[in-house]
Amino acid sequence: MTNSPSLVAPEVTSVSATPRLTLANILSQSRFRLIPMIAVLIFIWIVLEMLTGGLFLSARNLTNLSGQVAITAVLAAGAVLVMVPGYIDLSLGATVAASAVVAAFASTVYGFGFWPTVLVTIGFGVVLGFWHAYWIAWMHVPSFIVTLASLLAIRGVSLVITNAETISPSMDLLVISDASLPPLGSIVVLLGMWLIFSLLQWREWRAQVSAGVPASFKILVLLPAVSVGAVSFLGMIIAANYRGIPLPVAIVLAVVAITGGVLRYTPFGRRLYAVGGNRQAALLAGIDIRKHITVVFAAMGALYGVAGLMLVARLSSAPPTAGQGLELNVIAAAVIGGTSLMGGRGTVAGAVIGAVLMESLANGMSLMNLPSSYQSIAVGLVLLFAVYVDVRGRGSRGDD
Amino acid sequence: MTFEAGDVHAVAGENGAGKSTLMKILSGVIGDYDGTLEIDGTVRRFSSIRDAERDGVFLVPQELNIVPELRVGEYLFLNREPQRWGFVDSKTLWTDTAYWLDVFKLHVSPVARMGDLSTHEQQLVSIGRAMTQGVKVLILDEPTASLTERETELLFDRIADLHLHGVTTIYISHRLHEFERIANVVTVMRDGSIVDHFRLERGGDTTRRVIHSMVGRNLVDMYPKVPTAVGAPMLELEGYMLANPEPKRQPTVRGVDLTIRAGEVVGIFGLLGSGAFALARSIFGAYSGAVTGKVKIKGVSTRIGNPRDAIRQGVAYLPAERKRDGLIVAHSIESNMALAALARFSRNGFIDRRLELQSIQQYVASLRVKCHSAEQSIRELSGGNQQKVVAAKWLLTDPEIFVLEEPTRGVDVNARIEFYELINTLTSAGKAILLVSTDLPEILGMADRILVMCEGRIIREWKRGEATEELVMIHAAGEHEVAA
Repeated sequence: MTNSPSLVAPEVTSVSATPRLTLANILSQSRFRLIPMIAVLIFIWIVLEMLTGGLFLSARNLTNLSGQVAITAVLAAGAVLVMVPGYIDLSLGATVAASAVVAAFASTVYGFGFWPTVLVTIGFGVVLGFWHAYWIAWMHVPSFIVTLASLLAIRGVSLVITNAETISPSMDLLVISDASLPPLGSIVVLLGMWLIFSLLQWREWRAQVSAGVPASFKILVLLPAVSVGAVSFLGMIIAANYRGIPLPVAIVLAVVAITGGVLRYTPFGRRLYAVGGNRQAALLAGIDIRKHITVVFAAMGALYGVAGLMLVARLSSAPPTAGQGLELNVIAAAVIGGTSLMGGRGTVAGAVIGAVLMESLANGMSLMNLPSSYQSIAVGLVLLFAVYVDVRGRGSRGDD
Repeated sequence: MTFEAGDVHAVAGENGAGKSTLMKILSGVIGDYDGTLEIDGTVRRFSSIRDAERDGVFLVPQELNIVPELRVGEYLFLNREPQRWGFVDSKTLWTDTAYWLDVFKLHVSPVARMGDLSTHEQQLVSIGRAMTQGVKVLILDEPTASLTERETELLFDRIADLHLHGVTTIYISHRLHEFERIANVVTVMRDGSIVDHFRLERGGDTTRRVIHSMVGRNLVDMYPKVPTAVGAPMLELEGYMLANPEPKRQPTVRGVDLTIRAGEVVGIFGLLGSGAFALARSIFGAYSGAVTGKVKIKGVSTRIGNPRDAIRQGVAYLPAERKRDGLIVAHSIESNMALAALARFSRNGFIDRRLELQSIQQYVASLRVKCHSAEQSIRELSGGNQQKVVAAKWLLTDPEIFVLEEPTRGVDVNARIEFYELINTLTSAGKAILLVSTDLPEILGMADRILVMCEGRIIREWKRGEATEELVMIHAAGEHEVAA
């Protein structure tokens, strides 16, 4: 070996990048990410309306669709809560079905009344949630594994308890899917929610202005208030003309208001984003990650119960095999709605729109008498495309 | 600058002198530069590590890139496994590995897991990986930082053998006394350019010459230190010990007594592995090993078990690894700034946005954070502005004791001076500051007391103005006994 390597060292110049404010940049900010999604949703609705010859947007079908969306949407809101700090819940199909079985058992076998049944079911869900939290936060088993284990084990438990038979709940439990708020009450609820939303946007604008931020009234107050106002106005018209807000939709609204409010307006919610964004930095900022994760999974557990009640009422039975593949639909809805699987990013509103988008496709295609296999093809492609658009919009290959 | 065949070429320089940048260019990590790079007389331009390795330039970084689950042989031939009909030819793999291990006089089994090897053995296998791929230029970045003395000797023997194979070794280290032992040529860098370059001769005092070339800068302009009246003790450590989180190793800090008073900046200088950074981290409750010894804050005995305790006691911590430990890079300026003080901004469980935004805007303005708006992502800010955001995050919690680790690493000159002025403001407000840095002029320029740590102990203390860079460096390198 007689080579003589010689190196001549180069000089270094640093290149600094200057950030640019382009339309794409502005639209990629989290608070505007919903706008293109809503546009896509409206486009899909119009296409489906034309393809189904006016069936899709009929008041009857919308009520039917809302029943389908409700379970996915409630769970998607919970999934955002779990995914924002960087965790995941794969157990939904089994845990929700088990909650439905519990509800049916409590109401028929043990003869519980309506409210005791509701409490027992949600309590059961919370216990499952704490079970997950224990293994994840205290025993440090990855959430993927803990909830995957539940997906397998809890399904088995349901089958054992029911002897693989389908049991029916008592009739009074069916109220959950059949009842609706009276038209006048519906209008008051929608109007109230719109007012509160607009007020909160206005307060945010005032806070920014008082801090000397050149905040735009149009973007911060007018645009969101008008667009949300338009949606709630449409909701009011439909509710008034048909038979008011169906109870499942009211439940979704309540869950969205609570989870969305917690994520956006409380220190607890802010810290969840920090944990997902950079766990190490969050820890060094004094955040008690274990406590936060426990609360998150307990809340998710409560939503197993809520979704279980909605499921048992919708099917008027509790087949232990119900809800197969639910977990993936829910995660897909959250991801379509801009929630990052890596954590640190996501909104409840986005996840609900994601759920509506997916269920609209399924509903519309079944109205067109297409077999369900085509529905999965469509949903799969939508998921892929939605995430691609999101990644492109952020102009980066993932987060660092 | 020329590196000749068969030499062991030592490169020295303070942090930020440009050593690592230069080595990153040579090894293809950085592909964007001016000037030319020639190997064997032909101009090369490496745009990736693969390019550099193809031309025989290998970097063995300080933090080894090993795969703990792989066996020694599998790692040695990773990505170029001997094959037979598309399958790994394990017979060749193990015999070749055994041959190479013999060449390095490494007594480990070819089928041992990489993770089970000692740091020193892992390092030799990493060097071996370069050797088996026809290395011409081997770059070792601080190879001895985590080695014991005996292991260091063994490594030096192997490095000495390398030139028999015609390999050029570029050796980067802060431990200047090692140079005489292994290097033929020494290059000293300062502020991005080469200030000294000489061949080692017998009898010359290499350490002195290197230190002399490394230092030498006007301290007054860079460090606008304003002395303040020193008050009551804010933080006291007594018999403070930190166990090494890895079993069967020497404790990281062994028996430190330290007092920091209100209005005082205490600077600790220590090379890698000296325990200075572990000490800083442990004061914030973020050290991973066991902590023993007495801690008093404002004269009251206390225990800091985690960062929450520390924050409650009024301790703030600016970590050296800003992006890893201090910032959520994908999030905005405002959510980063508010993070540690969220409880202060909330009323009835909800965040008072007006109070939050006003406080944030106040710090964006007073620290002169250059940004379009507080909603801008941290990613888009320069190093100096990122550090200002970290500082604001802690200022919002209104702490009494600041632990600063490498506060101006990767920060440009103007922002540095702004940061030093911030330190002055804090001390004049009676805050206590612990400044841990490997930037020696910074410590000399800003600290009221200068402490040197070496091998887990504070070995020397000077008052401001008494220490010189040469003195501090000699002590930190463990050379004081020789020099005295």
